[in-house]
Amino acid sequence: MAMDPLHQFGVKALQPLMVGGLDLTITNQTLWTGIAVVTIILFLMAGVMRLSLVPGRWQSAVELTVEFIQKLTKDTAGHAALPFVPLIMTTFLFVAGLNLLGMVPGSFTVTSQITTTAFMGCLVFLLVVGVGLWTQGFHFFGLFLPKGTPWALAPAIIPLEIISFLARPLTLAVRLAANMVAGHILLKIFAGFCVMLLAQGWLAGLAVLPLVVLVAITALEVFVALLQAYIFTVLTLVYLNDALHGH
Amino acid sequence: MPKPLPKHPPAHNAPDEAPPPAMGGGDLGVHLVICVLVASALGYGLDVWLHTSPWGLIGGIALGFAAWLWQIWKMLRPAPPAKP
Repeated sequence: MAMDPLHQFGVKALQPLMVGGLDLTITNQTLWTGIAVVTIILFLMAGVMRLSLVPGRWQSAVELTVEFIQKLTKDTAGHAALPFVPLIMTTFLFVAGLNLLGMVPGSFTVTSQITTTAFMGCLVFLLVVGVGLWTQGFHFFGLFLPKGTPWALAPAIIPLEIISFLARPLTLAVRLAANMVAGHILLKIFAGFCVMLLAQGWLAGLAVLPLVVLVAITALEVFVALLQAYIFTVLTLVYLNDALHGH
Repeated sequence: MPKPLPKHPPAHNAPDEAPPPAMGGGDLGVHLVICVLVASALGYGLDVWLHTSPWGLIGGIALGFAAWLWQIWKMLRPAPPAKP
């Protein structure tokens, strides 16, 4: 089991819980989602507890994050998207928090579970459809016929656009989960090489080679954790831009 | 005397710059799988509903593949000229 690179993704029941016939069992996925939410709340509270004109390190970190998300929202989806900054901020911090907590040894990477990422992808999809219908009415469905498409091509293009549109939530979900799973499998494999070489007697010294690679991949994975949160956020904004301004 | 800065940013709804493309070529594999999956699921649903098996599924797979190629075309086509 220790050498099984997929073992780390197993969802385990921690506390069975049945409410009104519904299985609401607390799993390691639930636990680490909760830990991520509490961590994010503590991070934000630490930043705004003692506000000062010359910000300290926590206040700076929170201010920089808020400004980064505000600028990203404005640049990607325009001023009309600014009311959605709290939602975009929550999305970014939630995905980044889950990804980064997954890098803590012994933790559980919640974003490696397609259930979590698919739920978030579907929420983004429903938000986009809701905002699109609210702001543009049925003109929102003009999204399926890009500007400048010749009418003769419309019967061919519209089904392709509908499929691309329906694929959005799944693409969001699979991209995030696949990146997390792949990275963590790689980490586990190289960690396994280290342990196996250490047990080989006179070859034990060679264990330093996979260890060096492991350190490099760990750094890369921290970067990927933030990059995937950024990609999820940017794509949410790109879809929101479609909903607010049409295609 | 320098002109005072406006209190509010100019009111416009368009984004300041074009949205970034859908993250380059690394996503093409994911797009292929998802487009084919979604379209073939729709085709299979039509098969079950209209008893047209296996044509809905076959058409769905073809349509999914075409949707993937359409995504690539949209990713690679030249950007439209900037508005004045």
